[in-house]
Amino acid sequence: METVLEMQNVCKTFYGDGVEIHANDNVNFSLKHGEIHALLGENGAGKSTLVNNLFRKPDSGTILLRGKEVELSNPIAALRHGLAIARQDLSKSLIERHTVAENILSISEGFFLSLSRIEREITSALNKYELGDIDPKTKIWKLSGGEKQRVEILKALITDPEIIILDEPTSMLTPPEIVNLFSLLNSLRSQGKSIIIITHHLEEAINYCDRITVMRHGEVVATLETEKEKNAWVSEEEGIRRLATLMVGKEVLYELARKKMEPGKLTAEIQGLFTTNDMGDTVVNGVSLQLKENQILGIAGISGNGQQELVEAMLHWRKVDSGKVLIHGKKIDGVSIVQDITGKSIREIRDLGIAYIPEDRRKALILDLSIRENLILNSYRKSGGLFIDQKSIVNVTEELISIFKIKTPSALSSVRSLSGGNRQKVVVARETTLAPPEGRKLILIAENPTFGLDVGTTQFVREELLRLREEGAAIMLISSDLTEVLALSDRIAVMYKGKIMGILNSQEATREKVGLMMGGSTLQEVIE
Amino acid sequence: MVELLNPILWHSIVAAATFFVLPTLGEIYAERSGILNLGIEGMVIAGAAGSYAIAYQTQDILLGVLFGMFIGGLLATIHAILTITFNRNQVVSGIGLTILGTGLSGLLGDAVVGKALKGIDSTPIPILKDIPTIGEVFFDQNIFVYLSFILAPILWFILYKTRIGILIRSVGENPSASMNQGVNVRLIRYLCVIFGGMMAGLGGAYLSLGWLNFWTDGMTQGRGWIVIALVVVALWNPLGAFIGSYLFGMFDVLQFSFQHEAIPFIFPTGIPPSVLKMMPPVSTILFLAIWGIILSQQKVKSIVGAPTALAKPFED
Ligand SMILES: Nc1ncnc2c1ncn2[C@@H]1O[C@H](COP(=O)(O)OP(=O)(O)OP(=O)(O)O)[C@@H](O)[C@H]1O
Ligand SMILES: [Mg+2]
Repeated sequence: METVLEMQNVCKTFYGDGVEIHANDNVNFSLKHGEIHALLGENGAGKSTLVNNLFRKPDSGTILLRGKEVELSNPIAALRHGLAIARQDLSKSLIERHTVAENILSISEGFFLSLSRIEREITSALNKYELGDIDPKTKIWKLSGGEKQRVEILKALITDPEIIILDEPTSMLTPPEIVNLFSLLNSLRSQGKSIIIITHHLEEAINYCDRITVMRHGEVVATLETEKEKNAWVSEEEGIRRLATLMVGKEVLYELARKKMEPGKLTAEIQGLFTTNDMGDTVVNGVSLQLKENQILGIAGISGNGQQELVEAMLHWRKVDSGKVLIHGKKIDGVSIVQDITGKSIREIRDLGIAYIPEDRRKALILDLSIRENLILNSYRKSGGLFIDQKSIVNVTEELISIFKIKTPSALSSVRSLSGGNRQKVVVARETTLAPPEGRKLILIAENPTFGLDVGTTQFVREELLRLREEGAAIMLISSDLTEVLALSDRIAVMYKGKIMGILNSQEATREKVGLMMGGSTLQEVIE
Repeated sequence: MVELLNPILWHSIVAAATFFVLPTLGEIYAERSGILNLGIEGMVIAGAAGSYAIAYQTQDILLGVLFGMFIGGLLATIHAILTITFNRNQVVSGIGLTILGTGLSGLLGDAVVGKALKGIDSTPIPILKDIPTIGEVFFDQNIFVYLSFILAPILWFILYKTRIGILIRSVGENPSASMNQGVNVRLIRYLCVIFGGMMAGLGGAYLSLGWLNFWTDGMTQGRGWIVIALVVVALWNPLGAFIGSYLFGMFDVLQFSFQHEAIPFIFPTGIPPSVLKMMPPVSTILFLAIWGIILSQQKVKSIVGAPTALAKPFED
């Protein structure tokens, strides 16, 4: 097969605090005509940097398109040469306050703006590519993560490019949406398009991609032909293990040891909670849940069924229409103290030892502050007095950076300079180490905590959650990743259209049952 | 009691408001593209001096007006180079521009201070001017005033209904996203900032040639700064530019009419001029405070409010 795109000896260096980061160090990469090519690597390996080089010149190196050297110094040039990209960082790619149609500028032409024509084109393209129902008149900020991701993919495809680059397009999609996406990519491939896809879901690479390139520390370590490798692997699991080993450079453990534990005492309770979304529709319909110490309560559900709003209402990010959120304190004179935290300020809530890993990282990070400052956002007030105790902060943050393997030259680099996955590590590191007040155990609310993390780190974060559980934490794990929920949770509540369809314990919860309930079946229907 | 229904009073309010409308429209475009230009005061005053001087020398009003716009555009270009090409701080550059413009106005206007020049006559619009009261107030004005009536809806249309309009708004909301789609962010910002400067220069020309008909140092009396606030009041919408501008036009005129009004107990002998002079700035602050409270609501913020990328440095 003919090679359509070739990158030769590409280098890209970033400078942060006097330290050079060789994000791409003499990288060679080739894309063949009509192939789906997976690009794998740990967080910070340089995957996004590599593909971004096609839209802004790399520091050095050559880019060949169909054998001819080209200079792609800006997105316009790339667009003209038939390249399109769906980016990883949607905040730099979609305009929140504009509608879907207003975001897709590349198909507008002439002086007057005919939004209705663009809207029609978008709707027909959505149908053609089977990217689901999205109203082109909706403002981006009203869309769920998965919907935004589909808009971003559409934005790339609608220019009818020859070379399609997708940077972690599946991180927020549901399993059926992922299957749909790959069947779409398949049909695009048969039309002769060439596709690069970056992903942390290794099974996607094995099952759908023709070739796999693995990056580590800014360099390409291997390019594999999937078919050939598959013959050598006894199972998909072995393939995943092999790829993970290539990415990390050493064996990655894949077993999660969830010790059997008796549920501890009731620590938090949601009673009949109702709340609305930004558009004013009631999306949480009388949810009641209990969190117990030493337990992980999984909330399964296709994203957009009210999980996000439920959490936001619990934590005062959103107004509670009715219902209560109660925190059970320790027993004094045999009577347990119950605190109603509904409508309390975020600080009061957090001071009770409630940690939160939000799905949207922008809610948890201040991008322009340093990693160190972001790591102490929860705890700086504890140092007391007017000044911040620099020495202890330095020690604490250095420790977190090394435990969580946050890939950065210095604790003083801004969070903005981190790769997507490493930003997530900062949030997880800070929230899982939040110290609850005397006599209380941590309550952790985690929304898709492993979102955008590479395999090794995903494993690490999951182990962290289990460790916290053993230490007595009550964890509420909201995840659209069913595997994650099943592997970690002691009890699984399935949410559908703002209601809890039922709660299963870990013995009775199977992929099938939970899957059915995610689609709207009740517990009774599933058990029968 | 002041005759509040007096058409002559309203005629002068329209004249005063027009001065605010023109630069506000320009600044709305600059800010919509993401560039804050605090140099309005400087561009207006240099435009006022430059246009008066040229008009006086050549006895050609039109040439004067064009020169005023040129001066405004030229000053704005400096701001554009510093903030767009070199990514310098927009606030610092804008304030520097005001100082530069004020200095320049002294130089340009030096020879014509206090010299009389016949300004622009009013051109009554046939038929419309005969509408009772309204005709007298709105349609017996000079060409600048009519221009403001026409420009606001045209600029609104461009911003919301044309391709260039959506590009401008996109660039001001999220320059990275726009650039990723092949939009030339810098070019659009340059055009908007320079257009903003030309409109400020036009406002200056109106001040000296169309409204007050003289030139003297510092004659803007800080009105350029009010424009910055008016953009916020207008919610960055060209049609909204009218609302704030007419309100402030009212304050501008009424402060003279109220000078001899007595308010029982507080000012029994009449409101002192110093208090009246405080009206425009105090009301500006009040307005901004109220607006600020309304706009800070999360829900409102995702619909209206300052362009998201306003005054943020952009490095690709
Ligand atoms: N603008 C920047 N300034 C400084 N450093 C940067 C910048 N962009 C990327 N880097 C650094 O370059 C390295 C590679 O980043 P890149 O975003 O390519 O990683 P990635 O492989 O896409 O990771 P992820 O899976 O987390 O998205 C990281 O160490 C990152 O911190
Ligand atoms: Mg990346």
